[in-house]
Amino acid sequence: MPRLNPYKWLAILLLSLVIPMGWMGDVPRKIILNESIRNLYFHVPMWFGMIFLLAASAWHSLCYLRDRQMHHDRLADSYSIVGLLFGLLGLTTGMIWAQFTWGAWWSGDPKQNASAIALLMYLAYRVLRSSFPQPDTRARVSAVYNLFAFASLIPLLFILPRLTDSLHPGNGGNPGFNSYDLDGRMRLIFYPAVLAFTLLGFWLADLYARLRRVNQILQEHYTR
Amino acid sequence: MNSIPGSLHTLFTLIRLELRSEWRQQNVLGGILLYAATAVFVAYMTFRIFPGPSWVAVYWLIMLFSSTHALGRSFGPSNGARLLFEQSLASPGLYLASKVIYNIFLLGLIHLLTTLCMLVWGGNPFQDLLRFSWVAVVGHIGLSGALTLIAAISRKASGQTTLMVVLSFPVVLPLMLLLIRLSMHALDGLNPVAGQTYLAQLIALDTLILSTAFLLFPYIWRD
Repeated sequence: MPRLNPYKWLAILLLSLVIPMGWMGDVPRKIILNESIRNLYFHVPMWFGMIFLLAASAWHSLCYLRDRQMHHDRLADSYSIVGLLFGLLGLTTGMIWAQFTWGAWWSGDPKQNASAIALLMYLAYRVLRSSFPQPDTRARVSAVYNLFAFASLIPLLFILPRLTDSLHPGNGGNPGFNSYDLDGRMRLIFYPAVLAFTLLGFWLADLYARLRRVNQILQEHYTR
Repeated sequence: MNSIPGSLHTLFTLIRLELRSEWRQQNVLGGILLYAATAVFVAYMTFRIFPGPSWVAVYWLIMLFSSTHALGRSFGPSNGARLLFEQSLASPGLYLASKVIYNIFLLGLIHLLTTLCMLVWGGNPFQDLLRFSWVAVVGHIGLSGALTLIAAISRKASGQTTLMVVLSFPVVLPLMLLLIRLSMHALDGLNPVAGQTYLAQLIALDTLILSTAFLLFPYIWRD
């Protein structure tokens, strides 16, 4: 048995429950939506996961500015890159779903636009990080940008939906998913799915940060 | 130094210094204004007649591009001696305040010139031109705060202009969306009450941008 942090066991347990149940469990039969209603278990958790990961990244940037410990910078970097991955997956799953239910890959929905802007911000963060040769300047300046980007991402999520109406379930007069699952069957899988994918994201970020640390130690060893 | 009149005096001195150094390099300021005017002229040559919504869109696009261009050089080249000189002048808060205030003036200047050129070549589609002008000025406050901080960030990264654009566009987009919406209201001459929530959001966003910029600036300034 490998020795793993308890939250990783929880992630394994929940994912092995959520993925088969997400594909095979009972779902309400609805016209247009049909089986695509299962996207709720995979698409929506990506957004929750992304927001939690980006918040964790901002938190570690704040910690770095306060105590200047390099491991905070590594964690901020790792959380943001996994957040970016979750964002890309969320956008892709959403676009495929939208093509078959709304009839277009992109329809200028406020949530689509907000996620595109979020991706642009964090891609810019990656570009910024890669343009510094010295690790300490990179850590400090990119921490400042990370916090600034996060601080302007949050109002965006509040402002955009108020500017234009959304096609998303639960917005603009469309019924929410809650009205489809009268017996709570979908909720029973959806909430564990959010937790499971978020935990998986944190696990991935942890692995990436450790990989970076190992690479750094190797580099220091060989340049000495 | 720490008293309020003393700080104000330092602030005015810093702004005066900024104005004087701008005056010595008139070609730079002239270049930026010409950039805006040329962009408007190119837009006019392609559009000929601006329908209302495109007037607003073209105006804000030109404003965005020329202000990133102009404010991108808020901080001079990053070398040891110059940094030391700047840091000996005032506290980071005051230094940023002087830059932000000066940049608001600069944005106002670019705004005046762009609006004038747009009005001359593109005509006036506005029902309420005055409201458009003061909404733009409220927007310039947030724009100046965000772009000044990002200029400081991109100077640390050896001041590439591409970086300035890439970093600032997504961050100022929420501000732009609100400004375009409010400009559309002025265009159609809607009752000001209809735009109250947007205006409140715009002011809240300005406050948020400025306060984050002032909190974060000291960390990039000191080495």
